[in-house]
Amino acid sequence: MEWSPTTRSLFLRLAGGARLPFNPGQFVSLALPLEEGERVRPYSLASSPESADVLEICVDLVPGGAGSRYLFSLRPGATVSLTGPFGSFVVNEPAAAEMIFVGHATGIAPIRAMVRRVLERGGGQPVHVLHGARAASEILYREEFEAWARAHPRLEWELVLAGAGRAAGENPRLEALVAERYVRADADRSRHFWICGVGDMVRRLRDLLRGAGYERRAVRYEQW
Amino acid sequence: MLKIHVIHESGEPDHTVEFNPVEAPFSRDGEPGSILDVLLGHRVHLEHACGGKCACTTCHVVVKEGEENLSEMQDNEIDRLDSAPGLTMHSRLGCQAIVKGDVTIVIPKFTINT
Repeated sequence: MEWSPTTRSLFLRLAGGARLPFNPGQFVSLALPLEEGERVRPYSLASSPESADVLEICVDLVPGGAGSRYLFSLRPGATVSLTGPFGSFVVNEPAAAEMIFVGHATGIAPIRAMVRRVLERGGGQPVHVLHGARAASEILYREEFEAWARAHPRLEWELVLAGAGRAAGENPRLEALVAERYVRADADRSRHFWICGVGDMVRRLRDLLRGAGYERRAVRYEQW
Repeated sequence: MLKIHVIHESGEPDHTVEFNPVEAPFSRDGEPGSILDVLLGHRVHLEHACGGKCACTTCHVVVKEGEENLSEMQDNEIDRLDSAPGLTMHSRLGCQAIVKGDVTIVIPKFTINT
């Protein structure tokens, strides 16, 4: 499925009807047969463990990126080799505190799976999704998040656009919002964060929150 | 020239890789000059499910000698290493530990993390 000329979802069905058990937030490793030799590339699972017979990954076409160019060249029915799942950027049970999920561009993929799990498990803690994208035309799963927010009063979904011309992975508005709302606005340091995206913004947010007093283990992140 | 002596807990033959650190990177995975980068660039296999981006622990190694010759562990690695199976006081992630002198490492038999 094409989200934009440079972003696609690929749907992978395991051979022989196999299912891949995984925790929401994990990734799979694809072994790609490139001209330079086989390369492994990680892709977060955007699908839920409950639909483990079909795995969904989101792929950005990276300028000069042989791996993404290869994946974009594939046609339905093609075969890819993968292993997994991997990763500790997961959520299985809702935290006993306010939960904030921050995902920029394709970084929203694992967060989609995690938020669905949190909502399914119930609990009363507020859940915020800060959904970053460069432009409105590049928002993944917008209708789905909007529908979840209507169905679950404790979920607040908020779109934060970076603006045209921003480098991939950069969203100063998102960083400013996190600083204002979760660092300067109050002294509450009980919140839990899950942050995912491409580029250094992820680590800057990690350092911002931990430096402000949030516990190390309460600030989880995955930077691609 | 620096050396990485690789011991496989599985019993596979040892390897010694000799390299010039100024020629880094040697591959396209892991930090330039890291254990992973050097080994892959010299055709010595080390798992790296996340492509060397410090998102898993499949490149977990245990340092037997020369630990002082590796770059200091940063937050990224500290955060991830917690979940490495068979974690020891001398564990490092191959994709992050940059080699600055001779080291001897053991590649554990089991490197998969969930």
